[in-house]
Amino acid sequence: MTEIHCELLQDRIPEVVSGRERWSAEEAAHLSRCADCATVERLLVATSALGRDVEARFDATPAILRVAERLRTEGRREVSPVRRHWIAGLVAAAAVTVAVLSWPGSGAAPDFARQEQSFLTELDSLDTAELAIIADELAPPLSALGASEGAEPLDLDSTQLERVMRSLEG
Amino acid sequence: MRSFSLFTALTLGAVLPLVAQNPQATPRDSTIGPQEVEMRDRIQENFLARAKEQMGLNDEQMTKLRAAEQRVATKRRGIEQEIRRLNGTLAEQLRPGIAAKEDVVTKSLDSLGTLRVSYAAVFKEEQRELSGFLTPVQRAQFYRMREQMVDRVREVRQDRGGRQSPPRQRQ
Repeated sequence: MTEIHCELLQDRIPEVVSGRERWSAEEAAHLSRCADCATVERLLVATSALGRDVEARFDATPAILRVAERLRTEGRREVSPVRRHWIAGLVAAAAVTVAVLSWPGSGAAPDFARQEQSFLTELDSLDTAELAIIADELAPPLSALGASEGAEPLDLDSTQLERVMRSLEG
Repeated sequence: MRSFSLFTALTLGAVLPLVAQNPQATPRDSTIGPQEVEMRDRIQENFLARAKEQMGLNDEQMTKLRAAEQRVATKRRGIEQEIRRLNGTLAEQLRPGIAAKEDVVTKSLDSLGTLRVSYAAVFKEEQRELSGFLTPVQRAQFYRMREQMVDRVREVRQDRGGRQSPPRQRQ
């Protein structure tokens, strides 16, 4: 009679449970005598049955088709390096277009002509607030406001009255 | 001729420091907005209206003065932009802890000298053109008005950084 080692027999239990192998008479006799090997066998038989009914109801073919379709779709979304360059170019062109269209003035082109008209070049480096200071101080002369000599004070508009008040204040 | 040289020196002394002393004061034309354009136009028109009143100019003189100043301004603006660029280069070279490139510094200084001469030449050209339709007194009046404007712009710029300028008597 050949001696049966528990460890070697337990290693074969999954194969037998799956039906790929069969116990020999000696192995079967060992299992009937060895409580440890019998316990492992019962455990593996029980676990191998888990989910068997789910597998029976699961139709793998549609799932595989859906996965394949999903992979194809995701593959299309992957942007190639060449397309990235095109997209970057389009984004840059759009940015330039927006910048040109939002340039001050109603036209699409920068208003260089108007900038050249200003001969007071010292104003070039002033920001809006600083320009406002200068503009406020450099009010037009009364003669440029169109006030006639015979006009009554009440005939002056607010700007003209302000200029008169300033001149009176010195 | 001697008085003209003094005149030139005075103008350069008044205008060039605006450009030379502030390398960071880059022209704002690249980012100018409609509000700034409108204010510059308004300042210029008010300046011209005052000039007309104070100098007693007729319409023909006004038209010629405007045209002459626009021509000069184009040249002056180009020189000022180049001076700002060179001042920026010098400021870059003179940063503490970084060895300056002597050839770059030398070239920049030489170019600045050339530009100052060019600035004087533009001033002489401007005076020559103005003398064609303005009397010497009117030219001097216009020069003083420009000088006052340059001085006031310098004061406003020096007030950058939150300092308040002293109240200035309105003209």
